Amino acid sequence: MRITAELDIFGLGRAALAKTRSLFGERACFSSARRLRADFTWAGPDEASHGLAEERLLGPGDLGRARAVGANALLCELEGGLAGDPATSGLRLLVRVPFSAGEDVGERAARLARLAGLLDRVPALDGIWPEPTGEAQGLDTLVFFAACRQACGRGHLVVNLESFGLKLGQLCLSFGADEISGSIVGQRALRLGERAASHDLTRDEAVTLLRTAGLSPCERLPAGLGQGV
Amino acid sequence: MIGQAPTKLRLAAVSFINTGPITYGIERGLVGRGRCELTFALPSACALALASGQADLALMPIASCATAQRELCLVPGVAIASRGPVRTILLMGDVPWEKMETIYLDEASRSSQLLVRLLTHERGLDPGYQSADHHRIVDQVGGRKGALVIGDACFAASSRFPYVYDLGAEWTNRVGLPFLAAAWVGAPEAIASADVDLLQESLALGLAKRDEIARHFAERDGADVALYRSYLHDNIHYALGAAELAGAAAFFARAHRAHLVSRPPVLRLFPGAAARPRPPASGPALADLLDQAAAGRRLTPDDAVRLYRSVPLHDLGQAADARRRQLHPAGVVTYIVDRNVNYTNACVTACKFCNFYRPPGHPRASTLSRDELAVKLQETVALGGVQVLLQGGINPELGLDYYEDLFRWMKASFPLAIHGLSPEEVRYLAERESMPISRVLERLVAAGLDSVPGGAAEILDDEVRRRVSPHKCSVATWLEVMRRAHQLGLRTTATMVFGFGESAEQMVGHLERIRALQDETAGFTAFICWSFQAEGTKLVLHDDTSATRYLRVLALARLYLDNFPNLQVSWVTMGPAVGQVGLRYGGNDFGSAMIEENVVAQAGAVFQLSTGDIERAIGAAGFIPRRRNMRYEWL
Repeated sequence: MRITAELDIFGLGRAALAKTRSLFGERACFSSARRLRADFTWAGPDEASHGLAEERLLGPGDLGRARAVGANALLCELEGGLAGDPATSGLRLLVRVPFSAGEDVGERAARLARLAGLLDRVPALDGIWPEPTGEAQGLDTLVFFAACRQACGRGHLVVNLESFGLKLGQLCLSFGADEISGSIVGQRALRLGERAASHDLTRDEAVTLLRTAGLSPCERLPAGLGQGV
Repeated sequence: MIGQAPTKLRLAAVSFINTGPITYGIERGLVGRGRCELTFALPSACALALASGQADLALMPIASCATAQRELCLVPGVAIASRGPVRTILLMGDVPWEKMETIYLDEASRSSQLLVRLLTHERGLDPGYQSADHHRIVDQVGGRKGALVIGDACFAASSRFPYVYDLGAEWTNRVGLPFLAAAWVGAPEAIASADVDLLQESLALGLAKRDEIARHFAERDGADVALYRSYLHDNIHYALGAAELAGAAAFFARAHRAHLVSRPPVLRLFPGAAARPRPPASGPALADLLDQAAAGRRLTPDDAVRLYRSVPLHDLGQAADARRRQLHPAGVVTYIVDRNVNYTNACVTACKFCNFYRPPGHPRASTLSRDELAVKLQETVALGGVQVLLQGGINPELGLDYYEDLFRWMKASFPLAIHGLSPEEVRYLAERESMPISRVLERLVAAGLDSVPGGAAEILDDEVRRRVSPHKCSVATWLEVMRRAHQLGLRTTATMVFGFGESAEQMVGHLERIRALQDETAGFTAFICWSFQAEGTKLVLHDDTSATRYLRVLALARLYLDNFPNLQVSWVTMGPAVGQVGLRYGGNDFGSAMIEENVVAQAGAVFQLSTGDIERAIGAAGFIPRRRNMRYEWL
């Protein structure tokens, strides 16, 4: 779908929001995540409840090692092979869906069709994780989230705040997303000077981000969803 | 003050079809019965009638204001203007414009004469000009002789020549602003405020009867009624607001640069008068209210609070987007290349939300030297900048003479407009120099001030101001500085910073105050809002400063501020991505490719964009990027 000044982004937003509400009501989750690097060290807050391993960084046999160091979620690739692998049992499975502003409309539509097919084939997939290639554009991101919501069945649609930032990330919640993931910390440094571009946020700020989007926050813990906040 | 009205109001109006809606109510005695004495004449004769004292008020060519020997005011809300093709200001000929050796100018015209001379000059052409009688001008056209034809004669003449240029379209395509051809003009004391009401009422009645007027003139002329109907509905715009005044200011500024007028006149509305679209008496359902607002119907403060609190984001955005599209149908999004120069951080105001200031005497309090400024200004020029936004702290060491010297030096050394000194800085100078605000502004203008930024507004509510910036100017003073600036012919912007714990009523109250002043002066070119940037400031608040709220506020502002032509998005505080989204929630301007910014950067807003980035962001949203100046004139 090409972005034009006439594109009905409001209709897309309404449809995405309506589907999200029909699935999850007004509830939206937040989770603190750290990510496993290729050298098996962690990036992100030590206190994060989610240890995210990425299929693209894992070699043969690395999955067990990732679990051993604390990974409890796996970010699969749309074209990868791990999504349906029995070895992933017990991990929360998410699938990364790349996109970039200005990409070919047909390629994007085909990618979303493959996503829908994957979600049908692999019921264990819990959600999708849109990720921009390059800098995320505002309108294109929102339109892509709305399209993902229509493609992703009952799955969660996760906004990675590290990729989208807090402001655009929040707007995604009005276009189909129902979950935010980020570097949620007990206490954060001021976003000034060298840390000006940091997307770290406190738990209270995560709760506020969801509430000011008109949603009821709920924390995602390794054992499942926690109580509403 | 509007003066003592004479017993009879003598009105001189142009005798073309396009005047029909304006004089409809008066001609039929529906308004002003016994008060108005209406005569019709050609445009130039209307101007003469006013100049000679034969008329109190003339619906006359706006160009005549440039040669008037006395101060004149315009009636707000009533004009003959265009926002594209006008169909009755045409240059015709057997050869293309660039091949015309002589252009005959209709003697009846004033504004159109100036327009064709200006556009010809801006095309780099230099033909000869000769006057011709209004009724015989078309006969002069032939060979390399073209003619400016105006008024009703255009309808019959336009099909006679192979080259016909619509100068309304030429102007708007070049400048991006409306062309203001004529307005009710008179001396400041000429009319009473009730007269403004009756002139507006006459137009309102006429606008509703455009089909009837078109039929009447079509029968008179033996012309196609559909042609006249379309002309009155689609080509002539009858509003006189900020966009039309900005268009007229650009018209005179360009004509002055081309040495076609000796001085650009100050265009002021009759003081104390206002274009007052009537709000509905009772509260409609929310959906109807939203539809009406999207169509441009004025919202009451209560309506606005209801919409803000109750309407879903997408619905509010869609209405604002529809309204933006009505006002800016060409799909253009503008931006300016300028630099924020914060010349001093020494400040006695001590606002709790500011992380930039240092108290006078503080080791890190400073004022930029001329050398430091010169480097910044030269760099701005080199990067294609057209303006400096000059704002600083309230520094007690700097008096009016400092600013006068500074502005004169800047104007003499750099080709940059000075958009400078917020109302708080002007207020402080008036207090420091024991001088009226008007006098301070007059002296600053004489030294080179071009326009005034809308800073220091925050929330225009005294309760909020006492909490967050108790030493800053009151609401009344902020508005008074802007009023005085507008009366001097300065254009200004209006801003709003939300997120200080204000109520929806207080926020809408802010919008109401600037809308009311805009009704009075039409001096604001744009509105800009953003959320409080809290990082590292002394103000601990827990208000909603989210992107979602930003879009709601922006959309509401587009609907509420029906007399503001331009709304900027604030990518500097909200980020480029949200700024881009804002273009679909009411924004039509991407603000500034800020070469430098210091104040919000000290509170955590650190986004930076080049002009290329800005143009890509605008283009990726489906709009056409255009550079502009402070008057929103395309460059």
